[in-house]
Amino acid sequence: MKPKSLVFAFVILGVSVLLTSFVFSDTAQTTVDVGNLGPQVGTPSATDPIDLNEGSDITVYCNTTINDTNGWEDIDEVNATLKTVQTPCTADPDNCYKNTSCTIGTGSSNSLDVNCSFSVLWYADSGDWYCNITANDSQGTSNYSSISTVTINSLVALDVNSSIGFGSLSIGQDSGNHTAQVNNTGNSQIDVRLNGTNMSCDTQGNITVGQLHYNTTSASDWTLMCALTETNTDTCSEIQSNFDLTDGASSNKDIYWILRVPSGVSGICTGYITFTAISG
Amino acid sequence: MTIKKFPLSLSFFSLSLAFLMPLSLAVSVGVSPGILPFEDMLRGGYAEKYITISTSSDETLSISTETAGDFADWISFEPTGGFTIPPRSRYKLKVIAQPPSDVPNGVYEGTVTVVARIKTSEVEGSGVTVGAAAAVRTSIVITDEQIRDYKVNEISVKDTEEGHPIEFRVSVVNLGNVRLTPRIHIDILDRDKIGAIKSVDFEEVEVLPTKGHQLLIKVPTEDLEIGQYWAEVTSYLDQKIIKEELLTFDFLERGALSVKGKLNFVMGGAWAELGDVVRIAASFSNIGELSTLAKFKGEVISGDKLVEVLESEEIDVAVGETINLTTYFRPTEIGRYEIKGVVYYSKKVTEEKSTILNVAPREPPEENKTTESPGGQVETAGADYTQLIVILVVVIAALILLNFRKEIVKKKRRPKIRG
Repeated sequence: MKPKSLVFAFVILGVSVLLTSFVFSDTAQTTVDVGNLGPQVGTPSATDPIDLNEGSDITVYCNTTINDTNGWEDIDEVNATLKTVQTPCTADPDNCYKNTSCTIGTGSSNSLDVNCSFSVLWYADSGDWYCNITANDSQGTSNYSSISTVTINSLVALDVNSSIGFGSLSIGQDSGNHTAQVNNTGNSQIDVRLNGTNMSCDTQGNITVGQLHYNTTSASDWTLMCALTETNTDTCSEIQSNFDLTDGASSNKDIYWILRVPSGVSGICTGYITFTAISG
Repeated sequence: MTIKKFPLSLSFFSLSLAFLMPLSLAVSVGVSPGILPFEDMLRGGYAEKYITISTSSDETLSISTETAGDFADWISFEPTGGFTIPPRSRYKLKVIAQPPSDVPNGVYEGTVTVVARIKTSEVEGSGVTVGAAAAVRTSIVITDEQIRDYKVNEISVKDTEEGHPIEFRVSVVNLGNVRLTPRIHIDILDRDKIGAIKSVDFEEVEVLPTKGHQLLIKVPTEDLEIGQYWAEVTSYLDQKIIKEELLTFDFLERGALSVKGKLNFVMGGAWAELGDVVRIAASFSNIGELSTLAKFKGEVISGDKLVEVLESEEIDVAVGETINLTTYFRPTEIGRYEIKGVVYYSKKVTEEKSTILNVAPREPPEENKTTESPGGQVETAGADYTQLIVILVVVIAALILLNFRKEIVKKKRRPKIRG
């Protein structure tokens, strides 16, 4: 073999070594990974059924057990969603609550119990809700639970001022409009049934319950308004069956009251009115 | 919540009315669920349900109840009569339905109403007081079909001293519409849970439809020795198992104070590299009434193989104290290890707890990094002969090509022979 051929052979050898080294060094850069497997999230269990708190919130728990082949200590972060649909949702007090940091306790072997809580407001929709829990391990692998169903019961509720004052009046005089604001503090649309008692006067006589008139329009004529009765049977459809006060964060309507003072009474007169919320 | 203030009216005339009003607050009440169906009731039967009364009022409320509709006389409440609830609270009210024995099958409808008034308004009592109420639409369905079913909510047992029986409590709820008597079977096992020392059957308490009841089962202890035991509790409806649970309890010397400990967890950090010394911590709490010596004993297992036995120092744990009982483990092979163990204290042993340790190869120098498949086999780039074989093949091919090219050149240069 001539020197020229030898040089050529060495050049090829050099290039081959360079190329193969480059190719195989790429393989050697692979990260060390000892069989990491993602967590497996069990089916959650939740408070069921849930009775909400009127005009306030209630803590609802959704708990589960998570298993990770790499041990319970490998479970890194857990979050949960309580929602009315089985698909992903945007946080909304009516239908979607999120907990981005569930309480991770301690476990044993592969399993870990977790507690996820939600502060659910009074106007959260009634019906079936779904709890879904997602877990991440220390290597960034995640898994989510199957969905568990819980029921939020309907809540019929209202909030109203605790008294109505009519001021000083003369015999035969109308009081003018006095407002009672009714707030729906539940999660159901409501009608309002009204009933009351006669007003007893400490000096002389009683004012019969029918002297108290009401409706949903201010500046009304007393004679055109609904008369209060002793029972809450439907005698005024605009309020007792068609009030239709929807639920929500701030849902209210006013009811206006006028008292006409009859003859034969004097002194301080007192009585009771009851506002009853009923789903409708 | 908004609080509305009405002006005080202080003057009145001989022929006029004065309505003196206290400061007006808001009154609120809610009831959940908003509908209350009593389904599948037998005539002359019994059923009970609960409604939750809640309020966001800042005042104590006086609560009263009313019924209306077809069944007004069949409904009663517990507690009976009125009661009060504190500000911003909730209260569970029992609603009981007892239809008469001569009522026809059918659906009966009406309402149950909860009325709330601010308690202090009644005391000041001048003017018109407003009450807030919430009505629950209620129905009762009368049927002829008998339903038998129940569920067990909770089973518990407490430690017992000599001279006293062991007391098991089983909380049941009758889900049917007829009275039934749950059967509870209890097997008492020794500390190692090998074989039943004694067995007890209990079938004595009749539970009304829809009603909950806590069954108290007393097991005599004359034939038991001092020590820790396990109990396998099974509840039956006829031959059907409703619930099974395994519980532990201590049978103590007369007058002995309870020594009770709990192994909370075992931790090892989940991940380690080959050759690391791994600290294993067993968290133990003394939840009894005397201090105790405690020692963790554990095993390190890889697959089915026992790799190492662990034992911590014995440490005195004060009442109410939680400590870590520490041992160390140096893995000599990569892979997945289970570390499990119990704590021994005052001749007793806790429940077993465990953790998993994943051991990876030690991070190699840059020029000799390793790869590993999930199965645990290591491939080292430096020991791979494929690279050398490829180089040799390329060089040989080049030399053959070179030689072949030389032959062609020689043929071309060979002089032609002329005749």
